Amino acid sequence: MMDWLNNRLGFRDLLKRCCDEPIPGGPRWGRSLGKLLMFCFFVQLVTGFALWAGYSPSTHSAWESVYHIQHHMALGWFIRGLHYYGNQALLLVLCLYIIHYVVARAYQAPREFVWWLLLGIAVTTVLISVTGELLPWDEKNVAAATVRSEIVALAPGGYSLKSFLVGGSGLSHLTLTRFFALHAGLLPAVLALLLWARGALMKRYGAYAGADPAPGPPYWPGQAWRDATLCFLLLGVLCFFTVSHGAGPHGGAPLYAPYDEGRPFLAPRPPWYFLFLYRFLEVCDQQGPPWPMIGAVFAPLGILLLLAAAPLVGRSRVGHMAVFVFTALVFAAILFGNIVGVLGDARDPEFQRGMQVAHNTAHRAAELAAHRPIGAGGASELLRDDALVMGPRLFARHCASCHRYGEQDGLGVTPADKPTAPDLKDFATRAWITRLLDPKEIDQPHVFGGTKFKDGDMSGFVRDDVAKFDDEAKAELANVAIALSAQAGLRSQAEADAKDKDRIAAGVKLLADGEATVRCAECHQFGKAEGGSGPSLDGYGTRAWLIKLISDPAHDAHYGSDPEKYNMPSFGKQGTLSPREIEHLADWLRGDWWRAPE
Amino acid sequence: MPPADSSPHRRGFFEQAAALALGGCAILTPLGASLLALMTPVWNRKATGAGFVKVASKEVADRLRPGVPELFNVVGTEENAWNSFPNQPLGTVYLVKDDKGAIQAYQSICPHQGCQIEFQSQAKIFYCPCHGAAFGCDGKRSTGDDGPMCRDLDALPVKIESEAVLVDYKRFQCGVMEKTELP
Repeated sequence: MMDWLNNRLGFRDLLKRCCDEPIPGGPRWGRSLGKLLMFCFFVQLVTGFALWAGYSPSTHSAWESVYHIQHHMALGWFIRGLHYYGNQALLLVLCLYIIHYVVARAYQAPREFVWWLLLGIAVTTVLISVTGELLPWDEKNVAAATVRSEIVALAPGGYSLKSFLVGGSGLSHLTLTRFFALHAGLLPAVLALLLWARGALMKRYGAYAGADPAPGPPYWPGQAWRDATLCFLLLGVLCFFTVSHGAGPHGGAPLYAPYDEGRPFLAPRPPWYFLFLYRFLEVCDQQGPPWPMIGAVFAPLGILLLLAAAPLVGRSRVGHMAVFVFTALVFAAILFGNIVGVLGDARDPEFQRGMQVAHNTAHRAAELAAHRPIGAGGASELLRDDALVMGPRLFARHCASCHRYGEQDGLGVTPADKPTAPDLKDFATRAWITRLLDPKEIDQPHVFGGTKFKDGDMSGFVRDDVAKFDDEAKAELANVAIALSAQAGLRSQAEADAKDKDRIAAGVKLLADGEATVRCAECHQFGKAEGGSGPSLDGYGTRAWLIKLISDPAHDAHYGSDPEKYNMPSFGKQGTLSPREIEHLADWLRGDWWRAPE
Repeated sequence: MPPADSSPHRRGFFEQAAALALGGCAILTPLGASLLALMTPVWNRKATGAGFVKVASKEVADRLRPGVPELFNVVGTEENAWNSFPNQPLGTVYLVKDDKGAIQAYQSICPHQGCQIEFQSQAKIFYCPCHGAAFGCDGKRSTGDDGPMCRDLDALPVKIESEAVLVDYKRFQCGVMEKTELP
């Protein structure tokens, strides 16, 4: 049977030729780099095909299909991880291979074309990497692609080039279909052609220049086991990163939240291996025009051309030294730039805060996608309709100029100005109300300290009356605080509220009692108590109460129409916020966002 | 370095074993994982049935004439890989009133090779345009055991509840004698 096959196909000869191919100079670890590079391409090809079979290139389905690969395909997280870290390994090995090639003088005549083809392979690989990054359509990579498309637009005729590449004036469905066609179609085909041509030329000239002309020992097994060991180790490294990092159920590549035009991304950066370019362009930008264009377009092109000139320059001893020094400088600069970039970002609090928000949003996106139906509009719709995602963003944009949330703006920024309205973290909880009723706290900036209420009746009552309360009145006031907080029906206090039923009942009575020492009913409407100028405490802190307050604080049930008494605008009435946005704010402040079933 | 003089054979063996084992492992891991990922749908099958779904109001069903089937849409949530679309047409069923006034429901998919059948009012048969299969109003093969189809039309359980006709919508494997529910 095997003989029959061999007669037809002649694989034994082929195998023998491969195994017995002499290695001039004998087996060496350095010689394994080429095979390692081929192994990287192999991993990308195999995992890439499996990913391709699960991917859908459109702005409403790209993230969703990648999410599906990551969480619902068996081992989808694993192949995505191999593909993601494999790309980085590939770029690293490629750099090492190029350096190795220069050191071994393998670029020299008559191998000019072998060298040029290698540079072509490097450029194609980088382009495959760049087009692939965008495909998940997550906020980090779309932000990076947006910046890149603007960099392309800097080149002469760049705007037309950019429109050609991204399929329009901005990123859209067409960007994904084009990038996908390039990433999985045209560029790999070009790469295969380049690799094939280079392989054929290397057969003709031998792998290395100036090697021992005497045929060395055969490939098998001396060199083969070295190649196999390196490939195995590399795969081990990829598996390690895949299992120990990432967003999948067991690890895998990171998947940030789906891109949304209305949700700014706060930590825009290219991947770490392009940070050198990012930092370099940052320096160019500081010089002003025309430096950005020179840095973005002419500098990379120039370096590439100089590298391509290596076989012409490197003929002599001095020439080779120049080529060597130049190549070493280029790669040292890339390494240095990336290290500076990574260290700089690690020390950049703004970037770290942005990444924190991005991680939280990514986690929430995965949680929502796991449990809620993803409609035709994609997973972005789930985020847009989520109080935990939208609440802090709306707070930062509309509320944080006066209010604070845990001394911050909701998104981790501590504003420079002093607050002119209360801190709303833990709003309506027992602790929050107790602070408001504490003579030592009420004048602090996180309560009424920065507000117009500082000189109002409520502050006066707390400062003067409460400060003189005896123990009995203090106990009554504590019950009032618990009872008022219980009105809000907060999720976080459900247990405590159920436990303290009696105290709450006592407090509720006091709230409505016009004769009580705690004097609430003198100003506040509650149940049968008619109250006066103070805001109504009926349903205090409930969703409906908060929505009404944010929509129109000037309503008689809240602060009334006298603008001298407070600063808050009528967000709903003036149309600053939509009803849904106000609901998001109310739900978020109450800690009442959707939670995944246990 | 040439093989050590003392035990060239042994060294050769270890080198070959290492090359085969490590190289094989390195190549087979991404291949195997990718293949496994592609195979997910083979074992991770989702039910095609939608349970009892309202297909018509009682009022509409009462107007059905005995022996004259009519086509009704089955509307429900379409689970489509990562998407979930509410209120989508999931399929169609024929409702027929028999002589006693009871309502029967038939899957409108031909049990032969999955084409959509059509009721022809003149011949009073369900006709399949793909290979000419024909079924009577009672869902029985009108050509007996001749013809391409190997079983009668797939009847679906019907329930009348609070003024609505509910059908337990299911799909069945085509081309086999036995009525086998998918997946």
